[in-house]
Amino acid sequence: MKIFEYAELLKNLTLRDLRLRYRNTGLGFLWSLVQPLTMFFVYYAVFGVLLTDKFGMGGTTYPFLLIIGLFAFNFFSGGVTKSTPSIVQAGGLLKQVAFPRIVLPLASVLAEAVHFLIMLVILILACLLKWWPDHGSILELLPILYLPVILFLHLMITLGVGLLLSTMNVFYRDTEQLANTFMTVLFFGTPVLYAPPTLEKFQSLNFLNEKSAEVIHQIYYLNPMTHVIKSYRDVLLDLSSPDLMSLAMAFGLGLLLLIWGYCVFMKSESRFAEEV
Amino acid sequence: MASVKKIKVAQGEIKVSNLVKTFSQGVKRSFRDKLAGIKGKKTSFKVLDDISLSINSGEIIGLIGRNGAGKSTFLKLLAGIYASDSGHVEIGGKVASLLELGAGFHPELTGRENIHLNASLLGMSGKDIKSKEESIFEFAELKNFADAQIKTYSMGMVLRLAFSIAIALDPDVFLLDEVIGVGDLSFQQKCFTKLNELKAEGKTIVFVSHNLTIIRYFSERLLWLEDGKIEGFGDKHQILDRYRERLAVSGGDLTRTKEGTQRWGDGPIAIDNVKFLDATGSETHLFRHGEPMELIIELGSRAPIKDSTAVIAIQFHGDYGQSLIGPILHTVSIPGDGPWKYKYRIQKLPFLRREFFLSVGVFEEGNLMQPSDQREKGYRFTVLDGGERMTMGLIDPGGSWEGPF
Repeated sequence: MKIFEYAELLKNLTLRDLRLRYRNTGLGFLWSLVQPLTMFFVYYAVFGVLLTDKFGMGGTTYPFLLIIGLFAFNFFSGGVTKSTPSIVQAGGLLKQVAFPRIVLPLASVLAEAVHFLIMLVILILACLLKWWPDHGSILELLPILYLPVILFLHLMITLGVGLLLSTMNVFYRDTEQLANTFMTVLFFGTPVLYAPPTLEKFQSLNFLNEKSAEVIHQIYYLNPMTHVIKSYRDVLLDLSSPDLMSLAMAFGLGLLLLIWGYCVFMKSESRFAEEV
Repeated sequence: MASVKKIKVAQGEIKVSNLVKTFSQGVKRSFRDKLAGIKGKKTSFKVLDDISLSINSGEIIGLIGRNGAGKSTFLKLLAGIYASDSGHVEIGGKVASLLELGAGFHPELTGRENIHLNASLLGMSGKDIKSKEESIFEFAELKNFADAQIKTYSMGMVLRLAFSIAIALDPDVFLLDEVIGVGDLSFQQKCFTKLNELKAEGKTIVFVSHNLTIIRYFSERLLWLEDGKIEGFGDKHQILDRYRERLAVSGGDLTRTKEGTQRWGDGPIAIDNVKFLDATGSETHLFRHGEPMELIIELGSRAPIKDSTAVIAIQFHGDYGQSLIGPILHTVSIPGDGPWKYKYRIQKLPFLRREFFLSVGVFEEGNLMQPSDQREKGYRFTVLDGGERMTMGLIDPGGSWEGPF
């Protein structure tokens, strides 16, 4: 694969993304912590303190549930919204140099992944904080070893959607706007602020009849990010092995997205230089 | 990229067969158009039409043709940036393309960071970049600026850095689009030396230039494209003569400098027009060495002036823009309110086969510091044949030999 010859380029593009984002700022790289942490405190204040007890909000575990959901979703939405315009933004470069175009969305996702790794350290610290007060054996922490697996699935999904949308954006510039809007909708349609609702939860909503509650429940669980966030919480919050069904769903849907995204991307790649 | 097959040819060889490339204009770009079923006016035109040729390893090919002839598109197809509609491109070995200097440079990154990014973009490995980093800075004469952000560089420094990265690559085939001849004269000299080294190492180079001197100096064979078709491919002298003649016939193209005319001064007297006349008194841009040339300079007024004097300055430049003759100053009277015409006659044109530029300025009497109107290298003419076969350079002073005695 040609892409391996361009590992150096991928590294340099990722570094460029990371360097440029915080260059010439007072706080520098610390900004990558400020924004997500601020979001966490705001959402906690609203949903953990002011409006509690809807869909399992509030209570002592809520801040942990929230921070995991928030950080995990941030990586997905950041990766997708940064990679979507990556081809179009490279514009002139595509016309001047021949290189595998896939490094562009890949680098955008990787730069977000580097940020997420830092977030993951915070999440693990939070997990330890929760575990410490009445902890037993250190072996209780073993499920944390599942993290690389979940992270891999997380990356697959993000990259798949990123490849798909970055290709679409070359031909239809509306895609970028659409992606941003869609992310806002998905933010609430994914268990970020709340625990994944059961079918009974949907049925208890009085504006839904039996049938539509079931359909909505099914659609809800077709969102691979639902399963990713659920798995992170299984591991970090409950210190248990992730639900195998969730992992399988995340893998299946992620693989589907990745293959779809990759094929669409590769099919259109040769036309990028003319279209941008 | 799929259409570039790197097989069946020896290292450094280029084989192109029946290459066709069309571009379509007016492509629909929004969901709304798509939803509304608006097809948009799709007109397509052939940029390259059935190009077949082969270039041997170690050849230097100059690519000429007018704007829009398909030169850049051809290079982009060779480089694998565009995919062809039909036909094949086969290139043996590693290809490096330098189609625009500094493509991919980011102003916020330092020189060093940009080297790493740019060189990896061109396909260099991390290890190679590290080992060549210092020599790149050295060649670019930018050692002291390695860790400064590129936005603090001057244009010349950026170009020097970009060119230095490109020649640090070690490709078998080198594709260059209008990038030879950047920077100041001493840097240009260095680039030429380096390119000559590459030539000596047997690298295949295909390059586009509008500078016919560079074309003639470097290339062995010339490829002349016209409207997407091969107009000529072969011996450089033969092709150049035909090309010059064609350009001269179509005129217009030659009256502008490549860099764009620089014009300044907003005094009361303006340069309306400058014409070149040949021996028969007809306007042309094409001259032969030793023939007469007349310059007709037409001045007009921008503000009311009456019965004044002015100084006209003319200067001849070579094709790099280097000053050759002048400025030649001449005081003229400007009676009435214009327009006015002046003539400068050269009995025997001393120039040899090249392109030349002419600068014309007009000054108010007693104020030679600020032109009333000045057109720097605003006019261009071509001298077709080179006079004596044994005289090289730009100007024949017309001396004669004697001896031994």
